[in-house]
Amino acid sequence: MDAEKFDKVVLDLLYDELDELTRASAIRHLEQSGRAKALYSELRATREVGALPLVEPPDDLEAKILEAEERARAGRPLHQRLGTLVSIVAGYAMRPQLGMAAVLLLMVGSSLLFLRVRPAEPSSVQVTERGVPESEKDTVAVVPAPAAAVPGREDLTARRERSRTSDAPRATEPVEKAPTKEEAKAASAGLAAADRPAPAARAERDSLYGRGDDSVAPAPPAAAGAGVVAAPTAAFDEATGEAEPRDDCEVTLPRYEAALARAASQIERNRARWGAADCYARLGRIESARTAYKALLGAPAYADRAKAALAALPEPAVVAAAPASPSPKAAKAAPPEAPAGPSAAASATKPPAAAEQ
Amino acid sequence: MAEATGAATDEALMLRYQRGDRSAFAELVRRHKKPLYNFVLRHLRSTGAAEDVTQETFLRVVQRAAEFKHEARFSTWLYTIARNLSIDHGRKMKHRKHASLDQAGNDGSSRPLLEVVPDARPEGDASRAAEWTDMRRSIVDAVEALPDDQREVFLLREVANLPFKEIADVTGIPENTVKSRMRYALERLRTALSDFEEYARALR
Repeated sequence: MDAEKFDKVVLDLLYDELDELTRASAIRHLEQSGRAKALYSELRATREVGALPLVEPPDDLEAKILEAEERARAGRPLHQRLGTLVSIVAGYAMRPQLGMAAVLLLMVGSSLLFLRVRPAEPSSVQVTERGVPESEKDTVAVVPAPAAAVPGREDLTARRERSRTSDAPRATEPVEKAPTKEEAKAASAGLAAADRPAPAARAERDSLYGRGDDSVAPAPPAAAGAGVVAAPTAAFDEATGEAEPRDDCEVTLPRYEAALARAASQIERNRARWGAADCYARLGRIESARTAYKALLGAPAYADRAKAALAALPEPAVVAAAPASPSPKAAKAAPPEAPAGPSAAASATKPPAAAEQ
Repeated sequence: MAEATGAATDEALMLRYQRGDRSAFAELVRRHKKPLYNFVLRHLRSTGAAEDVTQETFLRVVQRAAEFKHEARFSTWLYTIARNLSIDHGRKMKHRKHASLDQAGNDGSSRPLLEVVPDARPEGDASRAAEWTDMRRSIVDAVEALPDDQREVFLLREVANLPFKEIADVTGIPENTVKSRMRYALERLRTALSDFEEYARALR
């Protein structure tokens, strides 16, 4: 350091405002230069001796200042108070701890968006499948269908089966053929009837089977007159396997008899007896049919129809004296003479449920 | 708000006061009232005026607390306010033709500066005490005789204890100019003290 540079930094050296390197350099120059040493000594002595002593301020000055400060704060306008409030809130909001907490909260919250519901355990999956047991389907399939000759009757039966098992998955059913409009209508009517109350559903079902409609399936007069197809209740259907056509009496008769044996109420007993009587008549067991119809004469709901059916039955003497009927099969095959007109048949096909209920 | 105020810097205290901590402001007053009062007192040469200006300076700090930027030094801001207020007050006093520093003030609240300066004379023989009194008077006279710009820098450096860089910020002049003025002020003071034995002892 030379004398010129020392003169520039001598005051900084005097008031200790130099950095370490410059100060060391200045002190080295001070030790080597007499002029610099004399200059520095004069300035240091002047500063030490000529330092002005500080005067103590009045004792109440601080109190006055704080009092003035309180008054000033109280008299501030609203926007300045709001500014102070915002400054306070912002001061806290800008703290690193709050910032870190906010970032953490943001990360946790955003991670929730990416969480997916895990697939449930296989054991917790419950699938309810309704349908007809395979064994019953087989039974239905092996039953000889005498009414197969009636066009469209088999389809209706199968469709009825499908309507009963409507909850089963239909995707597995093979597409047999495109249904006609009438079939579709009948099928939709059958499906709708499955959901309706019992009387309405039974009526629909009867119409589906052509009961009372000669154009579709002309029922035998005996059967029509006996009212075998009169719609039973759901419990009766279940007991007797009502899904089978009434002319399959070889199959349904044992069911009627079983239902008759275990019927809990008089109503069910009467229905089972009515069905059994009809089957007796179809199978040529006239005496059994007559006995059953006579037993129904005591039931108000069946009395008229039983009476009509009795009248329709061939006389025992005629049956016994008739040499023209060589076998029961021939007697069965030969349709009995219609004892009653359409009105009687119509009245016979009327479901007794309404009268009973 | 119960943070320690003793070790906090002026800027940290001011930040706390901006957030509503009044104790921080009280600590700032406690720290700066004495040098600020002395700076204004040497500047205005009146105790009453010095008290008013000191109080007004802190009041300005309260009113403009929201404007304080933390990049700046609080002391620089405080003495800038005090300097401006002192200049304004000095102009008003000139219009009123106040008496000189060593004469009693007309309002009764002002006393000659030498009467309020603490007497720290050394104990010993009477001749040395008398020399101390004379030297003290010479120092005050020399400071009072300084040009305003030199006296201002001298007071900011010696009384307010501001670094040269901050003095430059307060006065609005270059730092080298501040040092030059300080150098001239010290030269004048050295000349005023050269006849005293105390000064000679300090030279040794």
